[in-house]
Amino acid sequence: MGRSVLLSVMLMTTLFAAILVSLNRNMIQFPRVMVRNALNKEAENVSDFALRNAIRNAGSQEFLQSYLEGEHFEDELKFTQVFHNFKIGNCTIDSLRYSFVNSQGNYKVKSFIRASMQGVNVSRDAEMAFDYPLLTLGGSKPNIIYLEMERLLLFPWLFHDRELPDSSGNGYSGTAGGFSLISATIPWGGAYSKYCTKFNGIDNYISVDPQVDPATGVDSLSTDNSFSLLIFAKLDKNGYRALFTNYDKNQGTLLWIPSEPESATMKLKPCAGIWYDKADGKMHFAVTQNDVGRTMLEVKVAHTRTAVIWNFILGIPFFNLSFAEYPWCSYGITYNSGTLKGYINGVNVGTVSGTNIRAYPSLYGMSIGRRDIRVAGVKYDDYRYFCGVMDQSGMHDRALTAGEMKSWHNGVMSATLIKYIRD
Amino acid sequence: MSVLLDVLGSVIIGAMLLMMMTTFQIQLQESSQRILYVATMVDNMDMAATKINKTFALAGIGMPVDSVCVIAETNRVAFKTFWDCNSDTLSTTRHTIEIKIADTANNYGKALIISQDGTPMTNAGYIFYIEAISFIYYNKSDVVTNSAGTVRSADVLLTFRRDSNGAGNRPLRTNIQVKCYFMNSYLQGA
Repeated sequence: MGRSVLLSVMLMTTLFAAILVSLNRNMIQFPRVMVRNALNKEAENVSDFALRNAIRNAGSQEFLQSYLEGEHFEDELKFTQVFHNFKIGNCTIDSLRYSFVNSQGNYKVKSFIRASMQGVNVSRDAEMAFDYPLLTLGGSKPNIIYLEMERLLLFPWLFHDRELPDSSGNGYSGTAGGFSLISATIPWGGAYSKYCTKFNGIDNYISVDPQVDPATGVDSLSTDNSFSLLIFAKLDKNGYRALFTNYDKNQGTLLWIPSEPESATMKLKPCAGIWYDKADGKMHFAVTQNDVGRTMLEVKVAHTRTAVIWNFILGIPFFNLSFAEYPWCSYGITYNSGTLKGYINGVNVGTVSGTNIRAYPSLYGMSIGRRDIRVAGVKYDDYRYFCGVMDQSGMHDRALTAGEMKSWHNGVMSATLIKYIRD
Repeated sequence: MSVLLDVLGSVIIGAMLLMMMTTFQIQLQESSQRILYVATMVDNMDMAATKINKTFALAGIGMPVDSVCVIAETNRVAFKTFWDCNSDTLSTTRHTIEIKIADTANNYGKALIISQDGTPMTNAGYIFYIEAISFIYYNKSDVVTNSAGTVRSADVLLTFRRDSNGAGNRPLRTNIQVKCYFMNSYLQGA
C-alpha cells in the first residue's frame, strides 16, 4: 500500500515538474518579447537625438574648428567621434561618424546606438546626408592614384607651384611640366570637377614619381596582375601645328606607365598606356606582359576627334575658351591576369587575351600627356605630346567590372548630389 | 476495518487534491502559452510594420520626386531608390523595391515579400501569418491618388491570421494600419 502511494506521489511530482518547466519556459519568453519591443522604441528615440546633434555639429563652425582642427580638404574627409559610456536610459551612444566630401557643405553623418536591458541587446544605426556626391560611394573611384586636377596653378613659371594633389590619399601627387602662361589648369564649370589640365601638344605633361616601399621594394603604382587606368579627356581635333608646317602627329599620349624608358627595345612598350595615334586614327589601349617576349597586348579602336581646344597661329598655341562646349570622353583600361579590356565612355570597345600572367612591373611612375622615354638621342616626335585637356585621371588596384566602368563614367559626367535620411 | 477506510479516504482526498492541482497547473500552462502566442503575434506584427515603414522611408533616395513610385496598386507597390536594401548602404545603382504578399499560403499563412530588383531580400524577405494587404495612396496634399507619379505616402492595411494553438479554437485575426511616408521625397521639398 505504502509503495503504491509512494509511486503515485512520484509520478504526480514528475508531472508537476514537467508542467512547471514548460510554464517557466513560456513565461521567460514573454518578457523578452516585450523588453525587445520597448528597447527598440527607446533606441529609436535616442538615435534621433544623436542624429540631430550630429547634424547640428556638422554644420557648426565651432565643431569643425575644434574637432577637424580647421583641416583643409579637397576630396574626402572622414571623422569618427567615439564616446565612452555615453548612456541615455538603457541606451549607449557609441559613436558618430562624419564624412565630408569636397567641402564642408557636402556631408553625411551616421549614428551608432546600443541598447541593453534584462539581458536583451539591440543595436541601431541611422544616417542622414546633405548634398552628398553619389560618385563618392561607388567602388570605381581610383584608389591608388587619383588626380582630380582641382587646383588653379597660376603663373607656374613664376611661382613654381606645379603640384596636382593625389586624392586617393597615397601621396602620388603629379607635377605639371611645360610652359603655361597663365595657369596649367582651367575651370570648366562642371558640377563635380571644377578644373581640368591643359595640354598644348608642345611640352605640357604631368609626371608622377614612383614611391617604392623600402621594406617591400614594391611600388603601389606598379602594374601587376590586376589593375585599371581611368582618365577623362577632350582630344583636339587637329593637334599641334608648328610654324610653317602642317599639323603633326603629336596627338597624343593620355596615360603612360613606362616599362623600361631607357631601353631602346622597350621604350615604346608601356607597362600600361592609353594613347591616340593620328596615323591610324585609332585609340590604343595597351599592356605589356611580364613574359619572356614582353608581349604587348593592344586594343585598337577607331576614334573621331571633334573638339577644338587649341588654335595655333604661327606655331603659337591659343587656348579656345569655348572648349567647354565639346563633350568629355572617358578612356579606361582594365587588366586582369592576361585579359586586357579597353573602354571609351564606360563602354567596352575591345578585349584582348594573352598569357595568364602579370603585367610588366613598373619602377618609373606615371606620365600623363606624353610618353616617358629616356634614351639618348630621342626625337621630339617620339614623346607624342597630348593636345587637348584632361581631367580625373587615376589608377585602381583591381580590374573594375564593366558596370563599374560605366558607373565611373556616368558618375563623373553627371555627378549627383543627393540628400537622404535613413532612420 | 476502520483503518482501511481511513487509508482509502485519505487516498481519495489526496488524489482529488492532486487532480485539482494538476488541473490548475495545466490551466496555468495553457494561459502562459496563450500569452506567449499573442506576444509573438504582436512581435510579428510590429516587425512587419517596422519593415514596411523602413522600406517606404528609403524610397526615392537620389531619384526625382515624380519618378519614385512606379507601381501603385491596391495590393502591391514598387518604387525606385539608390539605396541598396540588401547591404543597407547607399549605392551608385538604381534599385527597384517591391512590397506585396505571396499569392499562395503555406502552414505559416501568406508571406510578406519585400524584393529588390525582383529578388526577395534576405534580411527582410519573408514575414509570415499575413492574410491580406492593401494600400491607399496619398499625394503631397494628403489627398487620395491612384497616380504613381504623385504618390508621397500610403496607408498600409495588414490583416494577420494565425491558427489558434488550441484544437477547435477559432484562428486569431488582427488588423493593423500603418501610415508610411516617402520620407526622402519630402526631404527634397516635394
